[in-house]
Amino acid sequence: MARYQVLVSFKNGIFDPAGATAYKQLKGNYIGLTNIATGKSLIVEGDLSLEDVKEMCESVLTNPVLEDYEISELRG
Amino acid sequence: MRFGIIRFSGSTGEHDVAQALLSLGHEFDFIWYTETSAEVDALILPGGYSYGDYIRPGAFAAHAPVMELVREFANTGKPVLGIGNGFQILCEAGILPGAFLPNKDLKHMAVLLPMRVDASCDWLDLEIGEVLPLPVSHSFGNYYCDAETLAKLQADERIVLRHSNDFGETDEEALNGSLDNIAAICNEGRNVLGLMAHIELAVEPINSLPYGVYFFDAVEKGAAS
Repeated sequence: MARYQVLVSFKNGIFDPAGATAYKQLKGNYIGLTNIATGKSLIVEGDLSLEDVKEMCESVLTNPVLEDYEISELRG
Repeated sequence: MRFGIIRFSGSTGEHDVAQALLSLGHEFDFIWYTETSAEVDALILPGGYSYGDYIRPGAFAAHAPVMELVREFANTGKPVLGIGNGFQILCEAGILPGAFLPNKDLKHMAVLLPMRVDASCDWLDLEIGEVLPLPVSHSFGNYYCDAETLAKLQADERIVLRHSNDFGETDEEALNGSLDNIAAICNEGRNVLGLMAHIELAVEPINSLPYGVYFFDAVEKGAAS
């Protein structure tokens, strides 16, 4: 059985209101802070190949107009 | 002339549409999301929620079997109307371009918003420049598409409604952050209209000004021609 993590983030140039609000709240406290971005993480488990997970991402799990994604296989 | 109101798993707005059609004297059938054919002349994808709006609004509904029927209607020039969540579903299914982001201030908006008529679609013929105050209720009303798609929408005059102020001015960004203040667009064939406004809540004077009547009557006229 394989275990995959899918990290979904907004594409460059898309306004991320939750990230922007977090950044605005914290930038006064951390001088080095330059940006905060939100996204989501999905864990996909099963007898699946990397291709299967990619197919899921392309069809339902992410929207190519808005989001980029990265799949990594989790071990152990 | 019969309307078909699609019911997805977990649809919440279908009875509001049914109530509006009843009060306007239109005939309709509900169409369950597993159906792939129906004896109707126009389709309505209702607003509210579907599938809990999990992952993204419309993400799962866009893959329901009934979308085969929606595509058939879209491709053969029959009227298709997507309201709110229905608009999001049409975008997720690729029948309309673009996608929806959370409102820019992350708040759910349930208000009357003025919208300016900027174009007509096949069956809808409103006066260009007219400002209609229409009810919205959305958390994901922030329309987005890439620059190339936006240029095409503008060039083809497919942006049917824009968020504006009461005087029809669109200088300020829409309250939900929508790109180019987009509130409604149609497809290339101009028979599929997606709009964020809940026109089904604007047919009886007790709710709001009954501008929604124009839209449902226009669908009926369009389906007949």
